[in-house]
Amino acid sequence: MLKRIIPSLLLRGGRLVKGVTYAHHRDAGRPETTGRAHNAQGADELLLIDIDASREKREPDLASVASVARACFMPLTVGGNINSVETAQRCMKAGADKICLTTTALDNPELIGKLAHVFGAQAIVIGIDVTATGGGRKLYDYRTGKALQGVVWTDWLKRAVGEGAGEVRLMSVDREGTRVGLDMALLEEASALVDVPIILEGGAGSLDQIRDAMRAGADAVALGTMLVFSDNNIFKVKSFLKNAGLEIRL
Amino acid sequence: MSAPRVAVVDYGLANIRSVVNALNCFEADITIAENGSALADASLIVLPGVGSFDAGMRGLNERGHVEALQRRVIEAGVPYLGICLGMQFLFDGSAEGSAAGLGWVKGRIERFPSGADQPKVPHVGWNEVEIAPSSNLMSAMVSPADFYFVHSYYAPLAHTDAIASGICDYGARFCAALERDNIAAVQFHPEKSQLGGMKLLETFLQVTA
Repeated sequence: MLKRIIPSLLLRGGRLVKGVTYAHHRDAGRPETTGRAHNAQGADELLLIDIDASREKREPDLASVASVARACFMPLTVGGNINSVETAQRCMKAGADKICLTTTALDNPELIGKLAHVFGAQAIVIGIDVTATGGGRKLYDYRTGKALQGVVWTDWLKRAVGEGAGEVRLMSVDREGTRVGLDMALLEEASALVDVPIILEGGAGSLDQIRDAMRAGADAVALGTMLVFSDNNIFKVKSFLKNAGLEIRL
Repeated sequence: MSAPRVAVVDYGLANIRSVVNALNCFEADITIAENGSALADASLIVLPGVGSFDAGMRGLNERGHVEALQRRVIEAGVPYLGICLGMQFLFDGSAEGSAAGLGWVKGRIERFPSGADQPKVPHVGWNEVEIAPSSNLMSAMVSPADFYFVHSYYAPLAHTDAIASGICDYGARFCAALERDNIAAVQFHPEKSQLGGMKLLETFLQVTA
């Protein structure tokens, strides 16, 4: 199976933004243009998350989803307060291929199974946001900006996959945008618990780190900062990985 | 030659948009067929599919597509391209559910085995497809070619040996593409497979009944 490089695009007010540890967002370009560039450079998929949707209790910005979908002929995963079959359906109509659930699944775990039943498990990505601030790994609730008490992240990961999620977006919130390196221990722990593909995200800062994560079993690595605020691009990243002996599509 | 009139079958669940976006890159007159009657004057029919087998067949039945497809594709010989679930619908049925498929190809769709020594299910991502010399749709490509897959169920080669035009290996070898007369179907997503996928769609648009 080929390993995937997935640009992670965060949507806010019709523009793309990129931050550090889920805060301090800076403008990162126009969604459609960025999608087109990633398409041309051979991104294997795109992840597009409307980061204000859950806090503002609304559906994702479908106009922006549609504009990205028009520009990219690779799979598009959309997230942002998708809390019903109807909302998921509207995202699909706008051009999403997969749905990413994070906080809405925590509120309503049965939603995972409902969506998997309608769209198939392969179209449902469960977002697992993990923080280790304050010692010990905990689930992070983006809406409050705090660690969630009372839920063990490994239990939630297993439950979410058991409910029908076909893929995991495993995010190390503390590392997001920092370039300190992907969380290999987190990857190892999660890989031992579930057998669906894992997209590892948060902290990638060098090509070596991406290579090591893939060698350690990550099926895909999602990149934000590295593509936005560095001189890397997808073609360069993928060429490096291919030369390192990984199975990569060029 | 005038642009082909392409009907994209909509049964309410699939992501029609990406297929339409991809077809829009070429010279084609595209209609989204929300019910069977909209297939009447199509010169090409595309059935994209995402979702579960039973929900999909229910959608096709409720919107009168099953009858219309039978009339147009089987009786009138209009070229058909099924994508993903649009390939699986062609069979008698699927291990994913209990609904009857279109039954144009004998046999049942099976589920990838899961277990410690098996690759992960669903099969998500880019994989190589070995192109058979008999393929018309992929004759312009170098074999093997990379395409994007997202599925848990597959068409066994046991049912498709004579018509398989693309073969993929995921733990076991399975039928990734089939071509028989005016019927073509692919398990992967050409609309999501960048250059190779676009080439396949362009080739299909040039097929004439």
